[in-house]
Amino acid sequence: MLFFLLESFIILLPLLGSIAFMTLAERKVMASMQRRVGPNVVGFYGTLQPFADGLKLLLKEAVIPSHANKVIFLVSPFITLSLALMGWAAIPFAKGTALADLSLGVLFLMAVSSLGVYGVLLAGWSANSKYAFLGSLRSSAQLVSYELPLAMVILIIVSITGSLSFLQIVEFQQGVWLIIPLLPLSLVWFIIILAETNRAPFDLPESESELVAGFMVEHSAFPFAFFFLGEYASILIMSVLTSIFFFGGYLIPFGISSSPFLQSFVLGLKSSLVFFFFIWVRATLPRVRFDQLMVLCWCSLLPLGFAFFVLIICTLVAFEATSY
Amino acid sequence: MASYIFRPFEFVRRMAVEKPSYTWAIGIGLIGPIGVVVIPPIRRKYFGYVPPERIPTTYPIPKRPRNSPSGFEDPDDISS
Repeated sequence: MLFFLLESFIILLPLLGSIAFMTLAERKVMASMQRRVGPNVVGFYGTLQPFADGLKLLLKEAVIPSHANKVIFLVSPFITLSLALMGWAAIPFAKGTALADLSLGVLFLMAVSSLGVYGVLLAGWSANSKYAFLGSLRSSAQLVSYELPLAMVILIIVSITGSLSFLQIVEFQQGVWLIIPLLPLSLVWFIIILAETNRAPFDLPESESELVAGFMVEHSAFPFAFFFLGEYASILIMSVLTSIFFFGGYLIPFGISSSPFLQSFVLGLKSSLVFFFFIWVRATLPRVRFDQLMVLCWCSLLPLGFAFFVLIICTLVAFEATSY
Repeated sequence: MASYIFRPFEFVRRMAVEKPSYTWAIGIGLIGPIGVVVIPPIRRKYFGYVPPERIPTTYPIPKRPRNSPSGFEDPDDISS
């Protein structure tokens, strides 16, 4: 039990640290893209800015609206954060280095990420505010809709690799990374993960010009910090999933063998590049309308996902290339 | 009159502009089933593909009369 707790902390503490520095990276990169300096006062070139922000949120008073359902109001950020962190149990950081090397790891992660919508829904409902409620409805509709094409892309990858284990999906890519045969599908995947993590240009739940701050508008201080951490943990896990599904996970190109430390460093590097893509898109594209978001999902991504699924399954059957 | 019957090419061209995602989805999705029918004969005929022998799922039964086992009966007096 003690060993298991220690293992969990070994994963969670660097994860929370990386989330802190992700916020700094986002602000710095966006500042650079917009010809600004960005945070550069706290610490060396602003490196301590995330800790200053975190400390501020912890020291602030948590305001609870008088008409809110207080228990659910306070529990919902915790639900969001814990579900966002739970998915990390199945992620292999290097060969044989995962908290739980599940044979059905992909299924576990999909189940856990699907439950994340409950935190959003409960937060919006319990705040007893129209802005928060509208934000939560938007966010729930968005998350539930984009689950379908997301599952379709994952199903295609599982069909090709013949496994639901992350480790075997990574090992399957020893010869060639899946981004090369599945390039069109990877573009669909990039769009889906932007929507699934409520990021720009699909940040409609947060859309500050219409809904103030979306479902978390009434949350302040540490409940807000929990939502913030949960959101960034989801972004990070989507970056890692992209690396695992399309960029060979912890594998080094050209079949070079390496130590577990180097493998986890490579996975981190690939995930950082995917996260840079998140920032790049945020700094570049304007927000879409909600109807455009839904039409994109149901009328474009889902039919294309089905089409690629049929094509790839038929190709595997035609060439007798199934690995199972 | 239904243009997709009499002028199918023009119909597909128009749909590719009006509803590109549906058109491309149907197009990409149709390649798969057509490939399942077309690709295996081409592989066999032009690329010399020989399908692998099927994996046996049963144990072959020998073609001879069955030997009835004997000599393994329990002794009459088990207590001894």
